[in-house]
Amino acid sequence: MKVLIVDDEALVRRSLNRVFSSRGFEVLEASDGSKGLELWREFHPELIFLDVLMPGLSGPDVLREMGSERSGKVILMSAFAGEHHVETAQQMGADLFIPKPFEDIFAVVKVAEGLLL
Amino acid sequence: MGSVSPIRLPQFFPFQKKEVEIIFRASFVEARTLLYSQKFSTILVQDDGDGAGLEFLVEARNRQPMAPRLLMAEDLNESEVREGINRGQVFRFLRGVVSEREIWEQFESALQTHSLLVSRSQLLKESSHQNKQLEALTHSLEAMVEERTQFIEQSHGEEAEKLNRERQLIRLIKDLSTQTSFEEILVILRRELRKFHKIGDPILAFRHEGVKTLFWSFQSGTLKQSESTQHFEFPKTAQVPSSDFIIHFANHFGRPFAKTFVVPLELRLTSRLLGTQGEAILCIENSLSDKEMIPFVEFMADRMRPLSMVLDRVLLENQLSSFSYRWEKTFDGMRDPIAIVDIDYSVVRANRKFSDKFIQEKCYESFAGRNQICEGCPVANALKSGRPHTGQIQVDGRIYQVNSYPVLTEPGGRSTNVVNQYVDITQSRELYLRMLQNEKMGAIGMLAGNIAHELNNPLTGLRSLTQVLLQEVAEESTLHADLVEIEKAAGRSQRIIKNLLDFSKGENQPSENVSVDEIVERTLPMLKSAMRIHRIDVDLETMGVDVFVEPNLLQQVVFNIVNNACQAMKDAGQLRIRSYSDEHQVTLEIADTGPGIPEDIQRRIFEPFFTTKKEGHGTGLGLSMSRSIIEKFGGSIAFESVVPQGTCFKIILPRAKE
Repeated sequence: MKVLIVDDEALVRRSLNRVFSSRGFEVLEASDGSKGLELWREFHPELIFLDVLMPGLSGPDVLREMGSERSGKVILMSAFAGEHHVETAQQMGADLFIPKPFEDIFAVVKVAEGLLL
Repeated sequence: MGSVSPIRLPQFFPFQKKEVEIIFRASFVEARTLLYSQKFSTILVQDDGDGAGLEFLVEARNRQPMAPRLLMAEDLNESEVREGINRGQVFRFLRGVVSEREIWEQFESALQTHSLLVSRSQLLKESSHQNKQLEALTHSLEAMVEERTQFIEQSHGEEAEKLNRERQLIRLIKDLSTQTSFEEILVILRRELRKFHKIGDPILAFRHEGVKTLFWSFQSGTLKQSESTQHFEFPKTAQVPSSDFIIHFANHFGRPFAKTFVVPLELRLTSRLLGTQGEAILCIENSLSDKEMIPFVEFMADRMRPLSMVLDRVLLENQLSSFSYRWEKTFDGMRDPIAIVDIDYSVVRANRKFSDKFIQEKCYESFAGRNQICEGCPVANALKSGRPHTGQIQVDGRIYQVNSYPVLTEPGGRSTNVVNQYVDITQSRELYLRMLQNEKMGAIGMLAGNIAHELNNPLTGLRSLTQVLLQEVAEESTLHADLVEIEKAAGRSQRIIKNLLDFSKGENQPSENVSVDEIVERTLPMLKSAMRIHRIDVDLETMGVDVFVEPNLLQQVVFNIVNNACQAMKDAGQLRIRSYSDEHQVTLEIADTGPGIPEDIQRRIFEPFFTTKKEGHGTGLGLSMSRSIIEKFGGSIAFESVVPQGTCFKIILPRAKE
């Protein structure tokens, strides 16, 4: 199983990487949207973590680029809780919306794994 | 004339062109009959010396006086000529031998004289005719003059009487014109009426807008005013009214009324100036016989106009003074203080709101309790420019917008008075500043949102990574304990950011059930720096007891009061925060050990814009806003302060309904 983490915050990528790696996932990291899109096209990960606000392509931009060819479950993350909520995230084609900050990273990972079942 | 041969008319005879008929007779006897049958223009007689000629001429004179007479004789003595002149009035004597031409000349002259005489007599006749006519005219004129003189003489008595009446009337008008009360007027009328015996005191009834009828009547010698709400028609003409009418008077005065005479008064001024129809009548009781009634009615008719006019004036004055009374009441009833102030700031007049105390001379003394002109006063500008000016003054922590309207008594003149209207704009200014405050908070909220995003990302990573690492190190290790602290600090940071976001939300967020303790706990971290030198003693006992509030607003109140408490303590002090509840309410106490609030400003600390802080360090709105927020939630805020031990603010909020 492959998981792609697209976030401009290194610590977020790093912590998610650690948790998923320990669970046997192959983890791909991208620090911005366009790099994330490249990786997605190349490796077709089953799970994609996508930050909303990023330099360059934003999370929703990436979702739009994927369009109908999309594969894998997409989890949108945002620190601007007021800006997006679950419904709009779903309208944009995300499978899950997780507000930042996380209270507990393990809980987040658990929910994400739930999408794959 | 005798035997005279026919005469040819000579060339020079002037009458030849006219028709002259010459008749010759040879004897006086013959000629005499002609005197009686024809008219002659002239008569020539030839006397033979026997005197018969003269006799003929005398007769001719009598018969035909207009024909000049000529006497021709051989010889005439003096006595004959005299006789001829005296008796026969002979025009010309022709003596001795006379030429024919001479005779014709004499004839011509005689004929001229004749025509002169004829025309003269015509003239005389005419003029005598005219004279006769003139005479007749003079005669008739004389008769007229005579008649007229007689008439004048006869009416002189009446005129004198009329004059006397006029004089009396003028005196009455003069008397009335200076009167200003119904009493004086009715007293004068009563005096006037005294000459008629059997007359009662006059009663005046007045009605305006048809609602109430006012009566002025003499009761035991003094004038009394009374009123009735009963409506009845006033007569429109002077009359002896029917008993249907008088019954209203009888009912009103509670006594029977004898025969009355009613005079309607014309209220022109009152009706015109008040814009509504006013009616008034004079009612005079009397026991006059029908014969006595006639002079009385005449007497009253004479006096109706002046009485109407003066009563009209007095009624109007009465109404106007009641109007000005009403105006005064209106001004007193107004919400805003209003005062007329002159150029020296002296109060000319003021309504009740302006000062409930005794009005002092100057407006600033009365209204603001100052001894100098208020800062921002617009009066001087208004007077200088002659146009309305507006300014803001502060009195006892309230802000007044003073609208100063110059009073112009004559167009183009300079005004020396202004009407000041004082509008309390404290509240609207407060609202305005609160709006500003809201905007400020909104801007802070925006800023906080951006900062929060920037901070939340690394904080999330930091915390998450710490959580991952915590799984990987042994629980007994110091590293594990360190990581636990890092994780906690990151979690705390996240909460502070969330609180900041909540705190900076604007007004009109939805109210929710929340405990006061939670609010305090959310707020205190934001005040760490303010509290850092003080000892903090927090004793919260209402966790699980909810109040129904907008959390961010209550947070702002707690923030304000704790912040004030910290700032009040210049040196290190103790800040004590307690919460407790009973079955109805939750109480939060925030106490400091500062110097306390001086007694002279205790009364004013909740007033908007009251501040003891330096310019630019406080708006003076914190406490007033706190109070309005707490009151909005149905609670109250109060303080106890003892100089110099400190101040304790107590916020009481009702418990949320279960």
